Amino acid sequence: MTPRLARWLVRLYPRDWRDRYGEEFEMLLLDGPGGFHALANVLLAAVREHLVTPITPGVIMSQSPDSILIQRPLMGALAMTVPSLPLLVYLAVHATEGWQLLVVAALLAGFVVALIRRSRIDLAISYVATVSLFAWVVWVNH
Amino acid sequence: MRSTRDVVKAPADQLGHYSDPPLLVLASLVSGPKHGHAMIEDIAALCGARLGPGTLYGAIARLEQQGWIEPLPAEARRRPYRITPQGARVLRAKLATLRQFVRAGTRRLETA
Repeated sequence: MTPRLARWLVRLYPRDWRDRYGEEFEMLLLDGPGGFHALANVLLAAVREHLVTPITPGVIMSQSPDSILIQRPLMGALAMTVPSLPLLVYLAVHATEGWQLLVVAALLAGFVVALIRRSRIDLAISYVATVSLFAWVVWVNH
Repeated sequence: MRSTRDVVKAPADQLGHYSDPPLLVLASLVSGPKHGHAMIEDIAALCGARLGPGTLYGAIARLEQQGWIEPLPAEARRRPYRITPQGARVLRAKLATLRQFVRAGTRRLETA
């Protein structure tokens, strides 16, 4: 992985996390082979870190590592769903073909299903897909 | 739809690797302190699962927060970690549970 990409990926993590692990994590990214899987893994992990309890060095928790993941589900769900809605409306308004509307509908359905299933990973995928599509549409139109 | 017969016929390595990142990190560190890249390689050799960098550091952060692993001074910007006595106790307990599961599962297979 290139130093520039590694630095950019570390910046996606919450500030507390970066302060504690940023430097060593960047070195790990530089040491690794990189590639699509590593990139996707880091992107999803960065989203997850924004949803988990902030890192508090020295504070020892009594739960298992599995159970302490995502302790703020409602806040996390709202943080991803609410900003996505105007993006989806923008995409729907600017859709010029039927299939584009279908994509927007699929993304909206993704959020609904993720919220019903309370699946954090589905929510994260819907969020990343919506933001990526929005960024792409804005880039293409300007 | 894929039938269960296909799954049974599939070679064991096609069924996927065991993956419980916190447990794998603890198991890797029990043989000595390691930094991130060394842990990934060690875990791959241990069970065939190759943890992604994000997954690995997610597990490291939670384990450190629990007090089950602790950081050592960084060497050339790479920070090694070591398992704590509490972490070793947790690993032992988790492995005992897995052993019990394997024994019970094997027994059921033999009588099936």
